[in-house]
Amino acid sequence: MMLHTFNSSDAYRMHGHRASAEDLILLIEDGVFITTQQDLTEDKRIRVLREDLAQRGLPEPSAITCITYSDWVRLTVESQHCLSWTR
Amino acid sequence: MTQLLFILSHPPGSSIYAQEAFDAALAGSAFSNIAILFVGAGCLQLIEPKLAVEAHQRKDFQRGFRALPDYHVHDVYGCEDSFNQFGLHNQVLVIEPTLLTQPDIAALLKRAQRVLCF
Repeated sequence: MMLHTFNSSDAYRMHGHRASAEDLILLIEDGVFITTQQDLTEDKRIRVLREDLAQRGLPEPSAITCITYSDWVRLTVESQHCLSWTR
Repeated sequence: MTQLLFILSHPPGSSIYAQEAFDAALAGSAFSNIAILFVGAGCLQLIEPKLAVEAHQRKDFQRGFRALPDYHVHDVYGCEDSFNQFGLHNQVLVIEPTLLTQPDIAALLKRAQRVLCF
């Protein structure tokens, strides 16, 4: 399993398809806005960083798993690679 | 075996990412078996620079890609989809990487010991 982080909508649009079925996708920084732009509820690989949502005044989407920094650390340890897609 | 895989996804010129990645890759090549993968807008780094250095006031680091074999870096890959997306088949390129499909890229990632994203 690999952890793909996306820090913007652009990065997700360009590289979102690179995450395979067994990978996880974590939305951070301005990447959290993707939750307001498209319906991600069907994609069970998606995680969103709770703190970055809160800092931007966005509500926590009910159907998407929101995680803390501690969870992020745990996922990092569990992943073979962490791929940081930035824009 | 690839010990360090450098993934380059930023275009040249818009940020310092591209040049930093190349510097890091050269440094990495001194002590590891490395591979370089150009994906997305990162593939634009491969276009032969067209502007005079005076026009953009930065180093044309891309020409340095030609020196990669001298650093024993032979595994240089590009994303085929990105090449098509940016029309790179019709461009003069600094070097010609081995083109990979997305399944090839996924396999490359799995085989790599460490991955560094720039």
